[in-house]
Amino acid sequence: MVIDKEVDDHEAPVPSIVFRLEPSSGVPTYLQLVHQVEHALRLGYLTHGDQLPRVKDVVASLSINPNTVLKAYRDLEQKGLTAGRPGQGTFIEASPETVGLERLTALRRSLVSGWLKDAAAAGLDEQGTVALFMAALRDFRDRPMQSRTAGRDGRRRGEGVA
Amino acid sequence: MNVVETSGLAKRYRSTWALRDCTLAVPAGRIVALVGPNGAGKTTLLHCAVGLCTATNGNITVLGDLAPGSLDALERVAFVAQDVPLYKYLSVRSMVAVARNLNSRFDQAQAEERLRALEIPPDRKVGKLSGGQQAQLALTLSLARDPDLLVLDEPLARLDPLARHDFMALVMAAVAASGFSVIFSSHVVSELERFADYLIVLARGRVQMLGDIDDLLAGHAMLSGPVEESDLVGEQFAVVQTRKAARHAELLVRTTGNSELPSGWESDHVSLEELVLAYLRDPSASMLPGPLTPDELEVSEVT
Amino acid sequence: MATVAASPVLPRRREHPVPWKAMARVTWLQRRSTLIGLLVLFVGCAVAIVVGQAGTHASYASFVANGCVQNSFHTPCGNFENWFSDNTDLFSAMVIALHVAPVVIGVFVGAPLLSRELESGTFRFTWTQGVGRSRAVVTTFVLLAVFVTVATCALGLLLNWFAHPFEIIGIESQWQSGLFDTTGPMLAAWTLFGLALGTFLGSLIGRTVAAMAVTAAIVGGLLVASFVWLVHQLEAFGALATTRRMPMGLGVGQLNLPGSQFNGPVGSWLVRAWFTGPGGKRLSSAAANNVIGRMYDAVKGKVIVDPSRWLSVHHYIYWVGYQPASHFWIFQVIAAAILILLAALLALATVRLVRHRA
Repeated sequence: MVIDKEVDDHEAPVPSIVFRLEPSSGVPTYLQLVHQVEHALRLGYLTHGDQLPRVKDVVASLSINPNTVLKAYRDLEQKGLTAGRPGQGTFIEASPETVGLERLTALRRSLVSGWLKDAAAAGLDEQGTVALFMAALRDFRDRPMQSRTAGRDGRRRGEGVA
Repeated sequence: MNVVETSGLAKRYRSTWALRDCTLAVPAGRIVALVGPNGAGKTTLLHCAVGLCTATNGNITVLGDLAPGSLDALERVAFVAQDVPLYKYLSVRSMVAVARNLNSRFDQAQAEERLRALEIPPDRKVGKLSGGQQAQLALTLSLARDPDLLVLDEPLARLDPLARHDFMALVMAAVAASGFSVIFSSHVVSELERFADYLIVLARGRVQMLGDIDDLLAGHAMLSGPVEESDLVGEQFAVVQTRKAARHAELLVRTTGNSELPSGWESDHVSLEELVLAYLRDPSASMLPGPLTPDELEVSEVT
Repeated sequence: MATVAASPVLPRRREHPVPWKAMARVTWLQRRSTLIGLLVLFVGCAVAIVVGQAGTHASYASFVANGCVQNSFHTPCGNFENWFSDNTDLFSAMVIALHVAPVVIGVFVGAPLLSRELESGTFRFTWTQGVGRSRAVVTTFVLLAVFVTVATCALGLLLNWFAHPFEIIGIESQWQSGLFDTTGPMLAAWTLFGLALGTFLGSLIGRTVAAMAVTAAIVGGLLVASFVWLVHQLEAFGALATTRRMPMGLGVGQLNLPGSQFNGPVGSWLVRAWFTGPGGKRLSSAAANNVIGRMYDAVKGKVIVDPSRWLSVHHYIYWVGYQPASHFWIFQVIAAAILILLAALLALATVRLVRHRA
């Protein structure tokens, strides 16, 4: 199986995005990559038609398992953010769904005037507030006892981008 | 196809058993980390896989049904031994020539290109290269053989952080380009996740834990809650490790089904390092996954 | 499930031909300095022999020109030393040098061959390459064996050639233990044995210096034993017996040249001598010495009296055991075959050790 079919006869172009890893963050490596692409999209560093770095290049620069990069790219593709073009690579298709500015403002207002106010009234300081919020968020995001079956499928290499 | 498959593999050196009743199967296309404390039998297992050791009991095959050490297997399995034994008195160029002549399949142009990229001077004596460069040279020679399985014994043990990064980058890039399987041993547990997607934990010559790293992580959780309820919760799960404070307890458990936690208990993800250390700390824990049965192995292979 | 694709560049080889050329290149790369050193020694010996032979040939020519035939106190030519004093030292030096050759090759080529790999751990590299450990070891050994065999065969024949004038005049013989082991096929056989023993000990001991020391001790010891004892024992095997009129002491190791008064064919090699007394009983060496003493006492001062007559009067017969010249090559072949067989067994044992080393 050959992931990057391109022959290495040309200099790698300046990458559209430079990934970095925080090994101690506890976030799975592939998710770190996904988040960084999403973040770059939100900030406009990546736009439609940009090519993501080739798996080989990401792997060589970060010294990580190619399967991890493949998994991240597959995840992005499943989210509809990217599309793989056989023999060429992975390209940005769309931006992540951004929430409208109006809706954002409303949500923020409800948070400030509602929960945050209650927390302050209950005597929580800033750190306590953050800790509680993060714990609740984690609970909300992944009910822990439902094992992360998402990780089971599609992990095998060979179901490559091409 | 399994790149390495053993059943009841045992190896005795004089009076000590380096491996005992070791049964495992490593599917193809993986980067496998073989971890365990010093003396766990990692090197012996790898040597058995590359044909440097003959089993006292049991069987081992590589790349499907090949006998390790047979010409067919040697042609497709490349090995970088611990401490990177090379002919130190030869020049890099001569070392490449030796490797080329010892293999019927050897891409000399690729090896030379890679050495140029690594800025390893061809006229320098191998013994005069830095430890990192020697490791890179050994790896380059192995990669030029276009192996289907690359076996690395403690490749990172003697390298500084930068050399480690460069070495593994070379491995990972080659895997990305050619898609061969890798098995590497390490007694360092941190950073494994970065390189490996499959884990084998050896302790005292036996397999303690084995599987896809995502599955292993998903199958374990760190529960924390009031210490007085810890025994009760412990009965609900297969507990790998229990740590108790005055009012608070932490249980590392295997999560098999959807068990509801009692209120007041929190569940958190386990890092790979925590998980491996917990298992290694208590090699006799009864809740070990244990050796997989052939049926389970078949299932784990299906994609 | 990933399928591992074959590389388009490097096709899989179905058959595994023995990689002679490739292993020759590996051997050359790995052992260049040793091989060059050996080659220098071999060429040095060859040059010395050629130079020495040329000098000897000149001496022999003037020896013959003066009407001399062979070394004899009874000819006007006198002792050979008058004629060949310049040549014998170099000849002896070459005989010694060629005795050392099997030891040198066993110690510096055989012993390190595998022990160095085992000691430095490089066997984990070499034995996991595509060629396979048995084939790597066997081809390397065979290549080195062919190299040293060809070289030592040439040197052995050169020494034969050097010895030839000395043999004609009767001061050296290829039957002598010194020449027997260093001429013809025997030098090559000893060298092969040294190489095989060194290689075997290297793979058995796994420590270079220890393997070298043990190899030197065994090969050197056997060569010395052969020089002082073994060759005589071998050559005495199946000796023919005949009588000699004139007892020339109990010493052996003479060639039957014209005029040496013994009844065997010319060119025979005298391997033993003994007396039989009245009744045909063989005398012990003490008794024989006693008989000789009495014989000389009896003839002392009486120049005319023939000692052989005294012997026949007293019913003593002087016997010699000899090997006719035609047996020489049989003995060479037998001795060489024994050594080569031992070398082959050692090589097989080495392969077994290598194959089963784990």
